Amino acid sequence: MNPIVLQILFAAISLFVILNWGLILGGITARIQARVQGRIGIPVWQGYIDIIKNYFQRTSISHGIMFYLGPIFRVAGGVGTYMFIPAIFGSVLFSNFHFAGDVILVMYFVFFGQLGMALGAGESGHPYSAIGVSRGLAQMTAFEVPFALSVIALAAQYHTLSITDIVAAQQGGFVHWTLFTNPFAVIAGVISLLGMNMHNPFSVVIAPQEIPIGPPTEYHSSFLALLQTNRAIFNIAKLVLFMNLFFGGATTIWGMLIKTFSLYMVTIFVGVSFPRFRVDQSIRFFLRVPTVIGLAAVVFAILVF
Amino acid sequence: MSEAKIVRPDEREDKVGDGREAVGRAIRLANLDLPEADRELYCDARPQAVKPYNGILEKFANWARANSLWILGFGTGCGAIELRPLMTSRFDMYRYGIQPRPTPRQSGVFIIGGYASVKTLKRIVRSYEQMQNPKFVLALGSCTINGGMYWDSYNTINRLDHYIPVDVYIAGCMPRPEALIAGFNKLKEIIRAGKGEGANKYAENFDWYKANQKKVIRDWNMPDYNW
Amino acid sequence: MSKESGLNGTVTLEQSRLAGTMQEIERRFELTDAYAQRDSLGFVTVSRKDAVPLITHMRDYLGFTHLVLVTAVDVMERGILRLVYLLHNHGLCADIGIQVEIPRGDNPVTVSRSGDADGSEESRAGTRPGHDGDTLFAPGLASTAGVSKPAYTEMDSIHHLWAQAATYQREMKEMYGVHFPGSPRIDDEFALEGWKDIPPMRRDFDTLAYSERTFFPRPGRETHDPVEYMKQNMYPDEPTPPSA
Repeated sequence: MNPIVLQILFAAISLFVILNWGLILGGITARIQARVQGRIGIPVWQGYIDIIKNYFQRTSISHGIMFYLGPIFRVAGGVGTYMFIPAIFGSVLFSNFHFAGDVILVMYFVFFGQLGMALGAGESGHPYSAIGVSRGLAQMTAFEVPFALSVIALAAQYHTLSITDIVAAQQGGFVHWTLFTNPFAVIAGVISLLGMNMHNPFSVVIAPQEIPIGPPTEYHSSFLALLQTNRAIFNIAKLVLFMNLFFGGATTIWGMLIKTFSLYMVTIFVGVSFPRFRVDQSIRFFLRVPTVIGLAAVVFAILVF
Repeated sequence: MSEAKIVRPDEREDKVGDGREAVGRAIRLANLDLPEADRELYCDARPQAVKPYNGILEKFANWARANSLWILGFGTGCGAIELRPLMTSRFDMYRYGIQPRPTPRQSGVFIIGGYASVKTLKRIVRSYEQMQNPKFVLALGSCTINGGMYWDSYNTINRLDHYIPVDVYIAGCMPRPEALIAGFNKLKEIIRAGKGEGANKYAENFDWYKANQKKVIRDWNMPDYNW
Repeated sequence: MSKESGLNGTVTLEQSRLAGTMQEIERRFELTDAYAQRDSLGFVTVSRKDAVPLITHMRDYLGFTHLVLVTAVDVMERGILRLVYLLHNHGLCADIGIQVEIPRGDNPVTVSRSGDADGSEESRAGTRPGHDGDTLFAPGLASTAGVSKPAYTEMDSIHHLWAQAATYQREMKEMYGVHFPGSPRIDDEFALEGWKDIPPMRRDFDTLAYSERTFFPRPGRETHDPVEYMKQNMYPDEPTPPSA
């Protein structure tokens, strides 16, 4: 078979696996949060039912072309992020479309979905959408700073911009992980991951109480189902990226599942333990200590390696 | 904002694509008299009944709808106080697939919490119409059935089902959260049986519902249909 | 002037903690009635022309700085509306209600500018949505609208003393049909939207008839006496309780 066709087929399979893992992880997460609150919680498969129901809604309302394109951009951002990250080191099936400078492209794709969503939600004309978008973009700009600094530190440390090479450099026992070779970069990166995942204390963007659901206020029916599908993919894509950059990647699918699960638990534990920041507070937070730690990581990488 | 083009009643198409038929006569909508600049801000199409899918596909869809009930977080009366305990760990509605949603666009179940004053009824109608097609109404408390203790009030309606279609009534003043959960289970049965067609009923009897609504809502300053 | 005690018949104004205040206002204003309902609550009745000066004096000199409420009582048998201004003195921990009797007047009918509820076409044409039917009261405007209607009974506004009084006055215009010229937003709707009948808190407004006419009563409504109904259903063999 033509190698590119084969690669596309493999990428589709890996995307399918990641989608299901994302939905189940969402269910498990909701169960854990419910247990913290002394509840039983939703069934683990509730995410599937919600998506199916939304796809089966009979009517939907459009507000214009950008309104249609918003969820499509969002999904493109989620899928694009994942497509350029090698999910399992050394596996042909899960290598996706990685190439020499993919970490830069992935950083761009993390942004891309949100910008597309901002345009689409803006056209819906709902004031709450506009508030949610402005909050989301402001907060995203802030947490990108420590994230970018920690990626720069990694590039300086490993002398490469390829995720595969970064993972390869961390093989051979956990002491080779970035977690131990450059802990500053990991701290800055994981703090910005908290912001990316938008759980507490950085959940004001999609705050369900203050502003109805944030940017997707006007999205419904299959638009919303598309956004939910994307959320499952995008969540895992981010976790896989961080696993590759900081925690030695994964060589088997079980390693990948365990590591992404554990990494997500960091977000959940922080989320159930802390109240919510306002946007101005979270911006100040990201631009202070995590940014300084990120700068320290860069200096450390340049001086030591 | 809306890209729907202005369709005069006489040129309205009664067929939508893919075999779904539009039911109902064309009536004159209030928007046609709006100034041109304001017209695009409001909807100018009447609701249309949508045929269910056939056979097993509709059954599957109904199963999903029954197990994913998103309620609109709009407490319309005193009964809304009974909705709050549902979310707590004591009653935990999430395990039944019931989740609150803050916007009518995304919700499928509208709980009318008790008495509905005329002023609130206007907002109820607007919110109900903004919900998307398979949509269900749980009417909570005696006030929605026959007016309850406000049956002779000058400002609260007596029968909710004259203004929007109601799927399940939950009697009591106020019904406890357990009764509300029982109502949800009844609603699930109705949906699984394919009888939760309130939205289509509303579209088919649109003129009747509108006439009733306009009888009590005296300052009708909104479009005839809010999507 | 009767200074008989009020409902409980134990306290007179002279004995109550309001005695000093009462002497002070009796010297300056002509009270038609005054009594104490309890130690910390008294009522005085004044004429319309004395009402606002009395309220101003009590606020500015006698320490009654807190406007508790403004309401009205429809005494249709005597053809009056009795307005009650309840003021509180934080130093004395006591209230005085100032009652003003004004003529009830004819029942005003609010006319909505945005037209009929039946959706009559001429009324809707050119009306912007969102600009809802504000009530037409202004002696000059009434004639231009081509609707002849009885004038509202009037009272002087006290919004310049307490800003929140404007809200009470808006409510009273809507519910009792008392107009307060000059009060801010007095013509705006308060709780009712597009009300077209006589003000609903006037006692000659038949709320049951209105409800039956308007709100589609559901047939089959029954009313039971709780004592008899419980006896009949739960313990029919026992003798009837003496109270029933």
